[in-house]
Amino acid sequence: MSHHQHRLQRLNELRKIRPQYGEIYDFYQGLCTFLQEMPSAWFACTVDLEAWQPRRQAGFPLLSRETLQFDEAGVRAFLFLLIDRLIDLGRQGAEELQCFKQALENDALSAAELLLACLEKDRAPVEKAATQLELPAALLEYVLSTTLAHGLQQWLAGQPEIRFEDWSEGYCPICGGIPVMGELSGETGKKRLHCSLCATAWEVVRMKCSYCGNDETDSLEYFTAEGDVGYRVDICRKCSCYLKVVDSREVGDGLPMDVEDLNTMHLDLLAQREGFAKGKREQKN
Amino acid sequence: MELNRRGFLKLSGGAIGASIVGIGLKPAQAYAAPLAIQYARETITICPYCAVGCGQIVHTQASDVINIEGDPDHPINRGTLCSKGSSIYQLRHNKKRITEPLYRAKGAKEWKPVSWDWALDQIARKLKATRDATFMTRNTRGQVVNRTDAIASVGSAALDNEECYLFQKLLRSWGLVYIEHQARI
Repeated sequence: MSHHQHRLQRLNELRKIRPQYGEIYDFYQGLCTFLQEMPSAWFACTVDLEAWQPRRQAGFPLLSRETLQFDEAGVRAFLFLLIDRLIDLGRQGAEELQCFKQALENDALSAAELLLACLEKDRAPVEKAATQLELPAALLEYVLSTTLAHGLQQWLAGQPEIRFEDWSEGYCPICGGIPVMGELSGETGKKRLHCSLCATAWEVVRMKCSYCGNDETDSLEYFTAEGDVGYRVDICRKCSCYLKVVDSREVGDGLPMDVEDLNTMHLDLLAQREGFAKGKREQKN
Repeated sequence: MELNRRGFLKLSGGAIGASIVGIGLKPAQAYAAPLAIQYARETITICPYCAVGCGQIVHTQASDVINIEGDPDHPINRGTLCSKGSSIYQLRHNKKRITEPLYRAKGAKEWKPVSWDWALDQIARKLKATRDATFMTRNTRGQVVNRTDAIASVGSAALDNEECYLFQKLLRSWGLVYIEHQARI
């Protein structure tokens, strides 16, 4: 089963569990169905796993600007289709999305450069482009990160297993992305983080803030919401960041974490009501 | 479009996408609004039962223990626990847990509750009497030994290093030589 099929299956299960999110699930289902059919020949990476070893030990992820290659025409074609799909699925934002499409058609933007900025979490080029086109930066960032995530996930699916047992950072060992969710995995509840971009999972120490590295248990807590069995929000009182965590011993193994993220939007809102922010630890570049 | 920059930073993935195309977060806001939350804390500790020293995580809410599980990051047990360690929650929450000293008199069938003062006093009296009656200052070769062979101690693996040190000092001061500890079994 492909990861998109896996997502679609979980979305169907969740419709019964949380019917009130039906419209949001419809949107994501439409997007996943679209992505399932889309190749990503426009994306390639050249990696040297042996050369990465010392870099990995120093906390550098595998992929960097230098390792990624984009076929600009291919990226653009993908973006056109994605934008059309988003317009079909949505109720608003069509004008802004068309404006973005127009800018790509007119060569006013380099999609490849913006995707690289997205990989490096460098918001300045994205915000500059958004200002130039009078578009919300959030829209640009969402479309670009969806494109990059699709390319990365398709590329990784075709790769032999990449090993990184010694990785303990709070960002992804492959692409440097921040975690979308944490998971208490296996029978013993080992904590794993799941990348928001390439969907890679890696193990971390449970009693440690994934963002600031704080391991003083006095300032690490979690909260649960009533009725949400198997989900919790880990918080750090030192950096005031939070991470949503799913306990796979309660909810089930091998869940697609982007879907679980969607299914727990209310926990984001509760965490923010409590004064916590989504962590944004900077990676090494 | 209902999503601004601030909103973008609050969410991720599909939720942002839904907001961008106007599907909005109202269902999530409506769902979250009345929800009560409960904070809890995890504290790492060592299982007190045996000498293996497995790592455990104790979940507490305010000062109440709500769950105890194996610590997956502990090098000894990697999150696993034996059946006794797995039931350690009952060390605190168990109606059958004995919370006061009990005494069964010689020939009696029933145990009866007694005060700590009475129990400790009884133990001290019997220890002193046995020690005084059996204390040996020299052995058969005339060597100074200052010991008693009539009392033995079987220590508990639940004792930590510092407790064992103090307990050893106490026992030696009484003249005990038969001192055993579960960690050595």
